[in-house]
Parts: sequence; C-alpha cells; structure tokens
Amino acid sequence: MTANERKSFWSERLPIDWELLQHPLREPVPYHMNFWWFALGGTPLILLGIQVATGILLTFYYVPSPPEAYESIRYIQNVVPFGWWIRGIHHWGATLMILTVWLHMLRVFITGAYRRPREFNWLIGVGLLFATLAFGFTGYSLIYNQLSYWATTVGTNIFKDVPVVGPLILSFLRGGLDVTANTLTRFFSVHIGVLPTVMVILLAVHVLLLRVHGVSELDPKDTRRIVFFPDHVLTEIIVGFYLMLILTSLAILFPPPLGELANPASTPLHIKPEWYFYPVYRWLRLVPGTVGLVGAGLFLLVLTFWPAADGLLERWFPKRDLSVVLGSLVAVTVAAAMVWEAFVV
Amino acid sequence: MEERGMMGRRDFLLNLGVIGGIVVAAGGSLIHALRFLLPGMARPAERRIRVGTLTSLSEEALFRTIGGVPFVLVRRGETVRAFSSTCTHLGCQVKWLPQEEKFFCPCHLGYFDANGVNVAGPPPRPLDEYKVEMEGNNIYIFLPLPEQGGIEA
Repeated sequence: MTANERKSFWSERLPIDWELLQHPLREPVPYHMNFWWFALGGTPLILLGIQVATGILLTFYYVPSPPEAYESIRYIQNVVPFGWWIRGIHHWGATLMILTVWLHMLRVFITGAYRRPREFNWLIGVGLLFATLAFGFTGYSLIYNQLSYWATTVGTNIFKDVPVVGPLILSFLRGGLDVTANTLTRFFSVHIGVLPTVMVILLAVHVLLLRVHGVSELDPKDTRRIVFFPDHVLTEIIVGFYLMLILTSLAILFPPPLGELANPASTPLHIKPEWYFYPVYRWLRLVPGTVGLVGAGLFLLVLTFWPAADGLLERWFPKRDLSVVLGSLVAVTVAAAMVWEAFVV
Repeated sequence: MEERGMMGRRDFLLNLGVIGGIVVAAGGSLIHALRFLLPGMARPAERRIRVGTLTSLSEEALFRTIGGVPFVLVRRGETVRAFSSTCTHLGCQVKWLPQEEKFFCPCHLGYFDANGVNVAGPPPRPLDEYKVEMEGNNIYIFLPLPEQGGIEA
C-alpha cells in the first residue's frame, strides 16, 4: 500500500475535515495567557483529569459499605503497592482543585471578566464551583471515619430547615431518616457518577462559551498574541508537570490521615470539616439554624447572580468601582473566617 | 374554513396525543424514579423497652444506643428522664459535663441543661424527650425503633 493509498483508505473511512478541526487549535489568544496565574482556569481542569484517573484507580479497591469502606481505604493506604501515592494524590488533588477554582474565580472577579457579554459563563462557573465543593463533600464522606460520618450528618441536616421541602431533601440525600449504609452508597454514586457527568457537561459549555466569546482582554492596548496550540497548551503541560510534582511531594510529606472508624453513638470532642467549609462552619456556630441557612443561601444567591447585582451597583454608583471593593472585602472575610476556624478552637 | 398558519383539528389532536403521551409517560416514570429515591420518611412506631433498673443507675447521665437509636438517661432522686442524645441543631451526639450538669454538643458548641432545655449556642429547641415508665425497680422507655431487617449502618 502506497502512502497515497493509505491516505485515501483512511479519508474514505473517516471522512473528517482535519483542517477544519485544527482551526480552533490555532486560535490566537492574548499574550497574558502565557502566564499561568492569568490562565488559572486551566489548572482545575488539569486537576480534574488527575482526579478522574486516580479516582477510577481507587474504585478498584474501595468498598462503598460501612464499615468495610474504612477497611478498604486502610488497605489501599497500607497494603496495595503505591496505594498511598494514588490516595495521596486524590486527596491533595481535591484540595488544590478547590483552591484553584476559588483563585480562578477571584481573578475573574477582580479583572471584571464576568461582565457583558460573559455573564452566562460566570453562572456556569458558579455551577462548576458548587459541583467542585459537592465533589469534596461527598468524597471525604466516603472514608467512613469519624469526620466523614459527622460531616455527613451535619451537612445533610442543614437542609432540614429549608421551608416545606426540607424533610424531602433530607430523605433524598440520606436515603432514609438517618445516616446509614444507604447514605454511603448514595454519596458514592453521586461522587463517581452524577457529579462527573454534571461537571463534564458544565465544563463543555464553559469552554465553548469561552471560545466563542474569546479570552477577555486584560489590557486593550496590548495587541500581542500567542497561538492556543502549541503556545498555550505547552504552558498548561508545564503546569501539569508542576502539579504532579507538588501532589506527589504532598502525598509523601503529608499523607492523608485515616482517622478513627465512624461511631454513630459518639461525636468526637474536636470535630471540624475540611478547611474549605471552615467559613460556613464558623457561620453556623455563630447563628441559629434557620438564620444560618438563610444567610448562607443569600450569600450563594448573590454570588451566583453577581453580574446582575454588579450591573445595579454600576447604575446606582456610576463613578465608583464598588464591585472590586466589595469582592475584596468578601474574599478577606472568608479568608479570615478560615484562619479563625483553623487556629481558634 | 381553515386559515393559513392555523393548526387544523386533526393536527391539533395528533400533537395533543403525541405531546400528551410523552408528558404522561415521562411524568409517570419520574414519579416512580422519585419514589425509588425517597424511601419511607415516617418515624418508626414507638416500642416499650426495658433499659435497666433504678438501683443500678447512678446520678450521672447514662448514654446508651438501642437499635441504632441513641438516648441518655438522667436520674434525679427517684425520678428518671430519658432524652434523645441527638443535638436539635444539626444532629451531633451531645456529651455530659458532670461539673456543670449540662449537655454539650461539640459540633457547634450548643448547651442544654439537665432538663434537656437549650440554654446556649445555636440549638433551636430542647432535646427530644422519650416517655419513661417505672415498674417497681425496672425502667422502661418508649423508643422509636425501626423495623427489624433492611440495610442499616
């Protein structure tokens, strides 16, 4: 078979216009995309890939049933060759993913990249943030240690105060009235099936909207351009290598703890959720249930529809860029609540 | 006479049949799927259980779990009261502080007195109380116990 025959063999069976497919790869993007801190959206995407790969590997040994779940993780951590590495990367990958999603969001906020015409993509982005947090919550609930059990109990109980449908939501989340084996299988199913599906759909729309709008300009005077492929892709590959280095170092230096086996009859004296829920946790310690729920709900509502709220602020105070001031205040308050919760009992 | 652009009776009925059929089929499936996802929500019926004797019960609070239902017995002289040990805020298990004679919830720092009344922190109401009956020296309480069988942690 000659080269030409081979070419026609494949083009006949795969009648795809490769030139057209390569077109989006060659799109020119602003020069600032060369710097990873301006392209922070790519980092959680790489981390998602790492989480999917390590997550699939973990399911080869994980048993989603109490108390075997705890034992299976102990087995992964202590017996399976390189189990500690896969679990360590998955644990720290989750932490870094949540951190980088927040940082990406903060960058978008501060540079005003959510403004017209990109309001919908902010909305999709908030959906991705919620999905990431839900990944974290369902993920650490699967270990079936004391933290998992009581975080699941508290986390699901928050919804019981929702007017009218509260008990229904509680029963839906728990698979019954209490946290039982049904809850664990539900969380497992959501963690490895529902959330990945939701996330992939949202990500597809997020990236599609990003491509049709184009990357937002940082400085309109800067007309320098790089090509998406290979320039920007190379930056992301380098980021990927650094991430693996960081994750492996963290897995070696700070292996994720296993904790004590869950005991539904006794809540430990010092119990806290993972760090990314510290602000909510501190808030719930300060105020009664309904106020806590309404307050958190309002915050999330404003965050979700921020482009609309920002539009109103601009109309009322046209000469002041209040969004940056407000956003910075909220970011500092959230960070302060995190530090307060981390260092004060 | 039929006007241009307006749907005829035949087409209208056809559309109604097709769309209505899809809505009914999808709705029916959705209701069944929801029922599948929402198992029974009714609290199980209360059952009378013997939990010990008065003479064996000290003046301290005694925590126990029967059939997955955690509770605490509090004795004051000849009187025994039984409370759910589940915090009314977000469902953690309370602990007894003997010096202060209070229950304490470690999750969000809620406090209840020895009568189960919420006295500090975020709990919105007192601890749930279970009915107690004494028969001679024996203590019986009425616990909402789930049916035997089924999957339980």
